[in-house]
Amino acid sequence: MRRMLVVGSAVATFVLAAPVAAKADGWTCYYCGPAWLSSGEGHPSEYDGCNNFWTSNWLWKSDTALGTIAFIDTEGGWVVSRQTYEVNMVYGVDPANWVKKLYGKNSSGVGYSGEMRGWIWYVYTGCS
Amino acid sequence: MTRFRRLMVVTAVVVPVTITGIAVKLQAEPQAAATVAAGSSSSFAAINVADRAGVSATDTLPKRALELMKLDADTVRLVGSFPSVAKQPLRLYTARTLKGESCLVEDGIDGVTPDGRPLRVYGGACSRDLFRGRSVAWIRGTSREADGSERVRFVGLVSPETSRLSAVSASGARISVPLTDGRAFLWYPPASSAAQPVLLAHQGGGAAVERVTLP
Repeated sequence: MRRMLVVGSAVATFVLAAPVAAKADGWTCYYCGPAWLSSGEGHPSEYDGCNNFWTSNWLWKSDTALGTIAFIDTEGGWVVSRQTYEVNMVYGVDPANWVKKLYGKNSSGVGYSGEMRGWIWYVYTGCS
Repeated sequence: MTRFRRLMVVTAVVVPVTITGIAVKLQAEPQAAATVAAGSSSSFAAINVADRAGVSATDTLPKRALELMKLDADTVRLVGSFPSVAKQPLRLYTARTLKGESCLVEDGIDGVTPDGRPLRVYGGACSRDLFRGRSVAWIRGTSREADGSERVRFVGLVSPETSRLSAVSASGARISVPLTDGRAFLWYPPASSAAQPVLLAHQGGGAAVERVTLP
């Protein structure tokens, strides 16, 4: 009896808590670092959609040299982009519930260390 | 029933019920968000910066931008508000992050989503020193318009020593780029020009002191 109660309680906890934990919003690195970015080197994220949407794109770089971030649609077109010398670039879009991928690039003539992250927003759309 | 068994029974009932309650609550939020997904853009909370000098009551920066960039709200200053084809103007701010970096922050409708909805873009760029001994700090932006065309524009800030800003046209002529009282600018380079856009920073009434070749 005691063992059944313990096992039952543990199973109930796992079954009910696991889906909740899987739906948290948060930052995800799509080019994790700091890692070296050669001149002209760019990296895309995976495409979003199906209940999880990228809302923000963040590029950190170690140098005050040119960098680019972009939000790219399913056909590869740049919907929005930003380019600057500053060390940190972070942009959000609203609405974010359209299918996109993020992109970051070293647009300068020199190499630098960098990291690219995106903020995932969970929104239930009925997609499975 | 022993004390241990009573404890286990209570645990077996209370823990799943509590977790179920949390799960139901969290499931309810996505359903509410689904309404947003099916409708227009989500609503924006905004901080009011009206109590800061030189800023009107309508000058607001999305709370989401503050959180995204980890800005110190007390340092946010509106430096430019530019007319836009959208109902909402494009606004440019300066601010400092909680770590002390200086930032250019922008917020406004900038193009459309692939399915044609107006797209609000907010965020910016930060460094220890925005100017690094130069006269102009800038951000190049591109957006997709409703007709599918791409629009390029530059927003930025000039240093306190800079009194005037001009652009060089493809023919070599100089065109004045207006500065706001906050030393900010918004400039659309000519779409037809194949030449790299160039800005000239002037001090006083004199000649250009810096030539900024833009990407």
